Amino acid sequence: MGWRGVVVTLGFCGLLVQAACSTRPAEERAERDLEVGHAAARGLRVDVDDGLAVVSGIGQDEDGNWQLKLWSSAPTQRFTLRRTDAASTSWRMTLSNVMRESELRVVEGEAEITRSDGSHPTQQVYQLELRTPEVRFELMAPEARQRGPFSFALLSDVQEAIDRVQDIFGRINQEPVAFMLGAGDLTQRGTDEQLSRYKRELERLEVPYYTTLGNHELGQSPTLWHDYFGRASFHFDFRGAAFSLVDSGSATVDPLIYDRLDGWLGEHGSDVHIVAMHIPPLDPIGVRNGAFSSRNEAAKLLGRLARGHVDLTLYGHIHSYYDFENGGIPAYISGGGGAIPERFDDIGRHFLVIDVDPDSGIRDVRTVRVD
Amino acid sequence: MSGRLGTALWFGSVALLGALWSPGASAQDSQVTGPLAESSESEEADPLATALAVFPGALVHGTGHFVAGRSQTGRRLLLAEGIGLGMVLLGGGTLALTGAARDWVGPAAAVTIAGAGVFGMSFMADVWGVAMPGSWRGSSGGKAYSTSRIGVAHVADPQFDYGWFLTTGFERWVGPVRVAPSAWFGLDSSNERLSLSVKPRFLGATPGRHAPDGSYLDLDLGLTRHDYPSEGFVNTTFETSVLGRLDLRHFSQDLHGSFVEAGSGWGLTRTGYDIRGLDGEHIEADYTELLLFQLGFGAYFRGERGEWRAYYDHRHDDYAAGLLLHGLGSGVAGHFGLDVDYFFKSRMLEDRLGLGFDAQVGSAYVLGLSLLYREEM
Repeated sequence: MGWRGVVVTLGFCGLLVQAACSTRPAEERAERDLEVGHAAARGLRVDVDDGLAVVSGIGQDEDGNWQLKLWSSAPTQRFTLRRTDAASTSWRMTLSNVMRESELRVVEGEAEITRSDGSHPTQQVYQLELRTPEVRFELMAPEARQRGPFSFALLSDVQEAIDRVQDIFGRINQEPVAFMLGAGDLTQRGTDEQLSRYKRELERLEVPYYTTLGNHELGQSPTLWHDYFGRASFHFDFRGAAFSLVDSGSATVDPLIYDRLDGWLGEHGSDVHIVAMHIPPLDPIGVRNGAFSSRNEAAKLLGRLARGHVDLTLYGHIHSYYDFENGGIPAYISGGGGAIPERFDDIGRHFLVIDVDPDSGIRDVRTVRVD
Repeated sequence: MSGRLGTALWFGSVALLGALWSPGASAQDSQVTGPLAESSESEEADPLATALAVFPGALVHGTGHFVAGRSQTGRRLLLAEGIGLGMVLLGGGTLALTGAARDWVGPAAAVTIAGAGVFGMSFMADVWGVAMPGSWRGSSGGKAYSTSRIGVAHVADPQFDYGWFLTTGFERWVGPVRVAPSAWFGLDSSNERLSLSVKPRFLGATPGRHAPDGSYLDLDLGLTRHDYPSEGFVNTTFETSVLGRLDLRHFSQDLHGSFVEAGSGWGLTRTGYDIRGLDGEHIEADYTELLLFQLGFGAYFRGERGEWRAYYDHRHDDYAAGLLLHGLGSGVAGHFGLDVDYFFKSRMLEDRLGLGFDAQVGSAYVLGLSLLYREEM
């Protein structure tokens, strides 16, 4: 092997490294986030504010009725429908993953709204007659308008235990929670079939489910998630508290998401602010490093959350329960959805119920065991 | 040619079995020459064996040496592969069965990484052993050096604004103990990383005492302060590890001129934040443990002109940090690197001046170039 051989070998190794590794593995997902909630077809354009809903269908059903389907990622939806002159004025809109008490109203423009029942507790169906070419709507539950205490659940890391997830949903249905938050790893590999299955299972959950993705959603395609559950990183407000869900499924947060997170932190410095993501910046068991690939990036993120006066950080990824602090912020790891458990921890399947008061902060974090 | 190809394929299918029953080494395989002898110029690279060492050698380690007719070395490399795979299965199996349980994950991860390292090094040794002509092989000389370096490095990390660094460091022997301060100063940022290592040597060359070769065993006690003023935090890490090098002529004379390194240890990092909470007090620091593990394969340049080393480092706290991957396995592994120290032949400077090159791939890409000065102790 001469010098040429050495150079060729090093070049080949460099190409392999380039193919397998990346310093920004989450960049594509961060860019895809911005496309969520925006779609146009059949003369109708849909724009959902902040991309907080997936436009999962625009078209005609078997009877020739025009249909629009949205999957919601947050308690409140504001969206605009724009139709061309040639498009139909009559649309049947199916809103999934919404609070049962939610009400749809017209904010701008003119439209006639007729509500009918959906097929499951978190689905609503509306018949819309669009009187003007552009109509702006708002979907919100009455309780979401009022500042005040509320509870929500946290569930992560179901993965291969999907066949038993109804036990957990049944237990969550007994809790007085407004919604369920997810910190990722719903599925084993994030395939079409697995994501679709999880959505079907959710039909028996009586509250909506707002979730970010986990590393196990990245097994097939980095952006298939967006077609089913919407943005991987997003933010919403509820009853005076702020929620930021951050895509850390690749053990890093993309710089594009840091920019958005900085905005959310800046807006809510004096509010109760809860941040959830899948892979925690730091693993309480450091030698395991079920955490960010860089401890320096972990400190960068925790510093920003601390500077933004975040009140609570919630994580998944580690299939157990941990209660600790990071960056001076209370932190919980709850990976109790049923995926291969951490042994000898005496926890088993579980979820968290978190009581929030927007005036006084996080009041309580309870662990609810399912098994 | 076709006969040799057939030999390779045959060994590719039955080599593992062969490793179990094969009788002792042939004279051709294992005559150990003098301790510091460099190889004969007559040894030539074997292109076919090299190609087959890559594939199917990536699956059946030792294929290159089998094809080159150095069957005992081939069997030993195959055995090393088996041991490595066994360790991966043992450690990985423990991780899977315990769900990476908190009290088990450290030792289980260490066994897994060590196994992966043995696996990787047996592959690299097979390729190197048949690809490298005798005229390229060297030895360490078994001497203890004090080496100073100064240079520049570029860190391409999308998470931080820094790019260029001035890098400097030196080693000074105090009896059998090396004291090694080093520093990285940001040239376009205020980021800086200062380290101090104290390394008692238990085996190997020390000042005034030559060793038979470059093998050594060191304890490494280190303290590092890494300051990120722009982000308002400082990481301070105390660490202790054991690091050893074995010249592979002890493994097989066919691999003389190359070496493997392995090290393992533990560290504790304190992350202090220059951030005040709503109560006006500084927020509390975070404390996290580090599993330290290094594995390397390298070789000496002829004429005691230095060495190169390809390595894996399980660190997640330096500039390169852990490996980011597409897909679902990102974050667990540390980083990979290649470093080269080459000293120029110079009568006036007594071969003391050289150049150092370093490349790392992890969460960031790191490239460094240094001017080296060494002094035999």
